Amino acid sequence: MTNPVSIKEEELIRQCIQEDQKSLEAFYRMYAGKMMGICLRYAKNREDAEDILQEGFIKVFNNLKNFKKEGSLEGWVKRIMVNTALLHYRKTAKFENHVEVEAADKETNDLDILSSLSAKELMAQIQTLPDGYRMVFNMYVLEGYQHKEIGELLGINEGTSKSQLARARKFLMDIIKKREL
Amino acid sequence: MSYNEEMDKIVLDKLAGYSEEPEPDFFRSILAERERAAKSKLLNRILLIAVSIAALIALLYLLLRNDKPEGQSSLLYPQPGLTASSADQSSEKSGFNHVGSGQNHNNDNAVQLSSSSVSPAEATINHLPATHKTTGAGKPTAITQAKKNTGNDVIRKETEPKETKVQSVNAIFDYFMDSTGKCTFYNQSMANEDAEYEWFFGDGSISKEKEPTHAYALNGYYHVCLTVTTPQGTYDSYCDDISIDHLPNRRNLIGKVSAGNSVPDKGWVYLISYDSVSMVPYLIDSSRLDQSGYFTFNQIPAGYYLVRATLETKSIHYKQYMPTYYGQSLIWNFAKRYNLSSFGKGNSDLLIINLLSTRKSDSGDNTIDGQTNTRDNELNDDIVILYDNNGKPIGFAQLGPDGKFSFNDLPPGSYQVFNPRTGSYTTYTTGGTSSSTPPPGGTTGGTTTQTGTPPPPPQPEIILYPNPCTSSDVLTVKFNNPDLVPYSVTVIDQNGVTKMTQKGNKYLVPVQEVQLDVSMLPARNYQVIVTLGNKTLPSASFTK
Repeated sequence: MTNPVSIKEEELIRQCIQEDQKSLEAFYRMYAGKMMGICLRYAKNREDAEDILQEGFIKVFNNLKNFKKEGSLEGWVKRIMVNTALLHYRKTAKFENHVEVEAADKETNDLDILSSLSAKELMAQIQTLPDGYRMVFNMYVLEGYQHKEIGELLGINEGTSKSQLARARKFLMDIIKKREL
Repeated sequence: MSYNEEMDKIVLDKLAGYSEEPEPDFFRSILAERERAAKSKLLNRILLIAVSIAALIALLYLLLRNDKPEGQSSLLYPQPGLTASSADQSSEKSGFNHVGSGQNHNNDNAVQLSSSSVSPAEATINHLPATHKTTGAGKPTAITQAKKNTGNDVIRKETEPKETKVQSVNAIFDYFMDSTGKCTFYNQSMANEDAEYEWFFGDGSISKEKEPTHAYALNGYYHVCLTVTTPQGTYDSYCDDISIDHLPNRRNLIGKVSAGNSVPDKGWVYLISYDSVSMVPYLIDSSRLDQSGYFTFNQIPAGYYLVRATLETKSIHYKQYMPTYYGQSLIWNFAKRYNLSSFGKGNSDLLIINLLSTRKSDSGDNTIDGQTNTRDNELNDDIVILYDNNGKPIGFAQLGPDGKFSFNDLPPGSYQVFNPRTGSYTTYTTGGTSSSTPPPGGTTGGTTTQTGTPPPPPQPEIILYPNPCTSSDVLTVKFNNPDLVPYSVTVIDQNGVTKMTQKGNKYLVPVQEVQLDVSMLPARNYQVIVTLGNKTLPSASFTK
């Protein structure tokens, strides 16, 4: 009764495991929007995001029976999506090692520009980041992973993760500034 | 806040909850793709079976060919330049390699097969499914594999050419597990109708049916094996591991009751649960004490229980010892998963109950009687809850038609009666002698009642464990919710950014435990804020 998975969710999961079409759809509707948001962040474009979302949902549906009701359902679904996205780009991503990044001109003005962007606009800018930058940026800033964890998940070292993040930040600010001009 | 941190915060605020609906028919494309993937998996399986059958036919063909008596130089005995090894029947790959003699031209010691007209088509490498652990025949065919020292060519011969007809047999099954643990097995074995089947379900039970169903009672891993045997004695086995973790956690509760220094005779222990919404208590099970004071409850689903131990009136201890309640320690929500290898060991909780000595003779009345005027006549299930001095719920009483309730057989002490409908507490004391500070307005002797000003409810505080939360994905947040109001638990990081929130308004219990999945949180310090209704508890912090 203190289960993080509510009875309603549990019932839904049960129905989904039994391949009840309506429940699968209800399950999908529950998370589609949010998970699409996550996939978009990790993807280059909408097509890739949909590929990841599709693959992710198939994994979710096939593995619902293995879901341990110890954590939240949403967290579990999210983790699958993020992992699917990482798998998707891990091969193509280039991680340059330890190259000094020239510090971006840190003008607070830039942050105002950033603030003025709508979520959708910002998303579009993030999608233009090179694969490696985008993955590290997402994982660090939005998922809250630390460099050590990112390194482990992507098979790179901590320093590389840090330099990728710095590059990603600079890259992002540069294109945002350019866009403003 | 540094430039970078500020930048992160802006991005996080904008995108953390970002949601965008995919195309309207996207769900259908998922289903279609999923079906396609499942089909291709099935095709692979069918292909695998087909290859196995083809291999078996090839084997049969070879056996028949070798039936011809001409020049049978038995290769049971190693030839010069050969290492003979008897085919490892338990080998995962029970196939064989066969190469026609025509191909053995690059070695001086090439072994000549007597029947040399083996067509290249028979030189098949046969991989049976890896899960086939054993394949055998009633009469051993004593397959001999001979491998040349220098080459990769492998030559294989049988010594039992007179085998009339080997009935091919190939065991395989699929299964469907429903939500109650009932598993239906679909026998897809290749065998004639007169074949016999034997199923081992991995939990100690067996079946000889062709397509049995089996109900698993416990979560766990089960190694299920099917053996198909033909009347000729040919057999094949197939095993699969079935994992069940969706059944409610069930555990055994065993325990011992003692009365002072003696073992109580003739007593009962009751396991009481209550409906999480209406709080109506109901009896789950009762267990009679054995001669040594032990009791057992088997296969109890995870949940919150009260355990009450009492003595029968016939017991010699009856007049001395009062019943004892045990409360919140019996939450089994996250009972360990059953592992078959440790079956019978780590699946029980142990509870020791010491009955309270009552000194009934000199303690006056041990009853709390009360009445509320709040009873809703439409509802038959109004109750009040009895708390002990430490804020621990120890009992329930159902309100009578007139709103009256009664708790009997209470040890001397101070109690609070909580009325969930009004949210008010009333303090009672029993056994006048133990009360050093008589409550104001209390009557002398018997039951003293204090109404009006509710005493401070159990002190609210937040307990977090494990803390630091390093090795666990789940953080348990425990707090008192004496008023049974909807709560919310929020985790914020050092910058005050909300990381997760969990709300609850359904399973309201006085001591609430909330499990949070913190696996996505990076290793930092966090604050946990618990809100009860519109009241916020002092926050607690944890480290991941």
